[in-house]
Amino acid sequence: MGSHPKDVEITDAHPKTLLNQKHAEYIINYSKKKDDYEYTMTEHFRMSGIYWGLTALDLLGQLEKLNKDEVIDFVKQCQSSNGGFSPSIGHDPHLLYTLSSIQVLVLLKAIDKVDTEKTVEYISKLQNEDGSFSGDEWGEVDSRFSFCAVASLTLLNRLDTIDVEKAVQFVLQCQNVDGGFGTRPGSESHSGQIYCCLGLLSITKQLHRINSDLLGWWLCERQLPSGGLNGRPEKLPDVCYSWWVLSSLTMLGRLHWINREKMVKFILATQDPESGGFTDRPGDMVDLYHTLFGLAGLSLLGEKSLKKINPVFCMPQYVLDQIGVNVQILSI
Amino acid sequence: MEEATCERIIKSVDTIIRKDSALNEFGIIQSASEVNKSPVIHIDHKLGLESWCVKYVYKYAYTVVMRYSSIGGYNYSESVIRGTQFCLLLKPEVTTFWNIRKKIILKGLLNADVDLLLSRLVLTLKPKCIEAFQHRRWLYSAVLSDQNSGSARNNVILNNNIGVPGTLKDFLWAELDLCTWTASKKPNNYHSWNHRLWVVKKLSSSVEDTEISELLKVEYNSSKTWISYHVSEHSGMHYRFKILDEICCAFEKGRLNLVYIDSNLNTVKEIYLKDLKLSEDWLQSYPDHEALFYYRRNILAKLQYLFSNNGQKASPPPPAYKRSCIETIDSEWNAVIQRELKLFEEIKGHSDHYTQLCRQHLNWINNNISY
Ligand SMILES: [Zn+2]
Repeated sequence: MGSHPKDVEITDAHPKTLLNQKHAEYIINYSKKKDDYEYTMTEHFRMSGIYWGLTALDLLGQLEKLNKDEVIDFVKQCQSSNGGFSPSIGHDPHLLYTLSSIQVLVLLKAIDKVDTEKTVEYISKLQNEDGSFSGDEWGEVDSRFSFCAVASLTLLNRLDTIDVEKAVQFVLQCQNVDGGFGTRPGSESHSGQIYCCLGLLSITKQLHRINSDLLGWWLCERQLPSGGLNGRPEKLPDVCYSWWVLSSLTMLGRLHWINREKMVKFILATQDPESGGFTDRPGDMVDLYHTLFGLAGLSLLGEKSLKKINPVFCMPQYVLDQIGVNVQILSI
Repeated sequence: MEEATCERIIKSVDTIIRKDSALNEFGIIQSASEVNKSPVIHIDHKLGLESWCVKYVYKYAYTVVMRYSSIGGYNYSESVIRGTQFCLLLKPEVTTFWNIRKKIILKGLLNADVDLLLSRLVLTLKPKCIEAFQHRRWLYSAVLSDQNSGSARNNVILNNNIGVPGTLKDFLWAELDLCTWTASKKPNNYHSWNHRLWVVKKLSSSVEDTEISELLKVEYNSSKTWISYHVSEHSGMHYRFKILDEICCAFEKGRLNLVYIDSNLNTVKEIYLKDLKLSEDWLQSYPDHEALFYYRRNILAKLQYLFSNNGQKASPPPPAYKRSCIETIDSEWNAVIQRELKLFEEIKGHSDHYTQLCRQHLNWINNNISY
């Protein structure tokens, strides 16, 4: 491959080895930081932040470094009377944070600490006539919310409470002629949405209903000469999109269609050797979100010092093995 | 900073929003430190806030709203309306605050016009803010177009654009302008184009046949112009592709005449053949753009489907085309493919990147197109 107009350059100055300990320290310090203003500014997605941090720590084998009781207590306080979970105390429940909460509780083996019956009811009531899901009572529809609903119910072992076939059909309607998926029928293909839609099809064992070769090619064309993957044509490479694409290719059994070595090099280059943590692209600011997806990507690519990740739930594989959840992975 | 000062700043922002319905921009003005004058600037229908006060006032407003929220009394409080408004200008990602306003609107205690303006101002600072687009869709569905929303709806005068009252249809037409604006501010603005598709769907289901022809003609022409100036933006091309689908649908339902869209168009196939040529022209001028190749693939896939279907219904299109679609090889289709294979021999080799894109394109043809 030659020069590319929308790529980044990786130089010798960028990290080449995985700085496990640095990342663990970054996450632990982040959880202790209680700067008033920043706390306020990030409260509306706190629950997802907790999920990113805990999952990343577990991949690093250092989950015990966090105070589990404190986390469980917080999640309990975020359960709304209707059964759904909010991102933080005093905020409104939403499917996005309901999934994060359930993931956190399953990870900490504390799912029995909340009223899951109510949660199941909350989720199943959000399914619409056409099989789609609204994110909350206000009605916005998005294929991401379909994934959140199906993934949550699967972790609770209650997928029987919704119309699964209709949910699948809605997701299939979000597929475009390029093989990708968007937020709603007719919406542009987008790697994040592709991950959600494939994830739903994988959980429900319906992956055979799509054209995997067509989508597989579209996905592997996201790789740029630097090794990084972008989320849509002519966009810059980004570690979080690397995860959406890598996990999607894994579900399709086509992970080997991308250049593994270059991908690893790109992800490693997004580490900040001083502060710990990963960024979207080499040289940017680190955050928890990209830290999880950087580690998850490396785990998927076979990094031995990390625990194995599940491509659909983005949770450590051993956790899903323990509760007997399995997903469909195609093979070619 | 004293609470009274915070309160004064929040009120001052509120007064401006209430009084100047033609406000057209909100922004943060960088300023080094506190000065002895108001940090709220209002000039020429633009609202600005000096950066030094943001941290304090946001924190104060946030706390006020959360305090009311926790005791459930926010429905009736002016300070919650003002507080959520202030916070959302700075941090529109806080969905809960939009929700609080939804509840107040449904109670008839807040005019939906205020939120059309607020969400518009938010988009001037953050043109790809999904929460602002969502809130506008909710306002349309739950208040503006809902006959049952009673007092919430009665108060609305739909001064969504420049303070001129209008109808629901006017609102949707103006919404297209808003989308053009947000798309021009942020490249590949996914949520803006998605919102535009939503507007087109709403408009086409709520207007007369003559107006749908007008709508699709306008979008057909404007999307073409847009692409020619934004050849690296796949979002705009995806939108055009969907507009072509809408034209087919309306044509098949007998709602529009193709010649009204373009005097040379007679059949559905011709719509796509014309864009195949268009895409060729774009590629000749801008050969290094991956997005243009993807647009071409979409058109080719659609054409393959149409040819394999012998001109039968173009809609609804199947999600992803498989090679087996074509049973009999049509000579016209064959000509399209022969041209396709030659085309890339002709313009091969301008840059390494272009060579790579051509290789991918031919690979895609081999995998997905029958010839
Ligand atoms: Zn990212």
